Amino acid sequence: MNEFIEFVTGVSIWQVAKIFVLVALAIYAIFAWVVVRQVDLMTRVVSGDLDLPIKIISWLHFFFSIFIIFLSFTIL
Amino acid sequence: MPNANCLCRDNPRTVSTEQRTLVRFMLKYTMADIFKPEPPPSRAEEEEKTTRINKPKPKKKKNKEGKKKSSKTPRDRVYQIVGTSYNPLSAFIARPRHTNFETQYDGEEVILLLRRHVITNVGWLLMSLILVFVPLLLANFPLINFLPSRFQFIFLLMWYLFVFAYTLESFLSWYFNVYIITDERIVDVDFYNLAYKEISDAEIENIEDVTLVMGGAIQTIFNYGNVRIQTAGQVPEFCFELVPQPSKIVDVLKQLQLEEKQEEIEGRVM
Repeated sequence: MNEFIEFVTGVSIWQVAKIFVLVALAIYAIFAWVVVRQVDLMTRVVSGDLDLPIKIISWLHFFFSIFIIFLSFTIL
Repeated sequence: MPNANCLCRDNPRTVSTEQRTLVRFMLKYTMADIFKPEPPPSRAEEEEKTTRINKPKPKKKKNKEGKKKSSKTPRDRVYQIVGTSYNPLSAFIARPRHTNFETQYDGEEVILLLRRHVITNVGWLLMSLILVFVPLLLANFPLINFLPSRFQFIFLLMWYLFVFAYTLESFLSWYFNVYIITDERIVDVDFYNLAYKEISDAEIENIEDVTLVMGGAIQTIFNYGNVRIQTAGQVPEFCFELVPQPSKIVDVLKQLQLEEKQEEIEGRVM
């Protein structure tokens, strides 16, 4: 019990904040993945000249969200 | 052939030998003349013939051209109305070359691809612009200064990620919510949110009534509005919302209806 209290009191507020930020970013990464799938679906329904650039943008968005997760995991 | 007996005046029944020989000679001559084979044509004659066949008469050619000009098909009129456009970000794309849709038939030609008028994007574009400059405003009104700088940096990145997602979603919503007019159908493609899509279509021949609705100063200035299409199909009404050049769209639909009627009369089936 004492160990638990020591652990709880030893945890700083910023570590808790870091966990919240990481969870939020993970949810965001899921959203970015959904956007990628959505773009894929949309381009299958209506295909046009800008399919490739839009797909690239959606993938870049997804990779950037993953990159921010790693960045916040490292620097926070 | 005249009767040889009639040649004798005195007695029609008696024919002299001279008369007979004369008649025979005449008959022989005419028969030979009739069945005489034609001499083979000379080279010059043959060449003249072929040139006469290959070379069309200038007068007739002129008439044909004149006829073509006067007898335009409804499809020609449709092409004339819509013109051509090559900008893939346009809201009024006429006869797009590389555009296909999921439920397209083989050989079905896309005549018009429509989106909401570009001016309707001003709202989300302005909002995105404002959201981009919000962190600069926060620099003057320090709300997150109590946070460590590393948290501030991550929040800044998260903010721009959010702004980017908002802009991307708004753009995708505009770009992929399209109305398509083909030579056979009208198609309405709607993406309501991330996971819900609706594609409805109606045959041109099922179109009953087309209504153009334009109202307000902005719609009049930028020439856009709603085109309501009532059909006899499963979906009773299609609404092409805030599309540019609605009068042209109505004209195109009328010409396509005319074409369908002509095809029906001629008995052609797709």
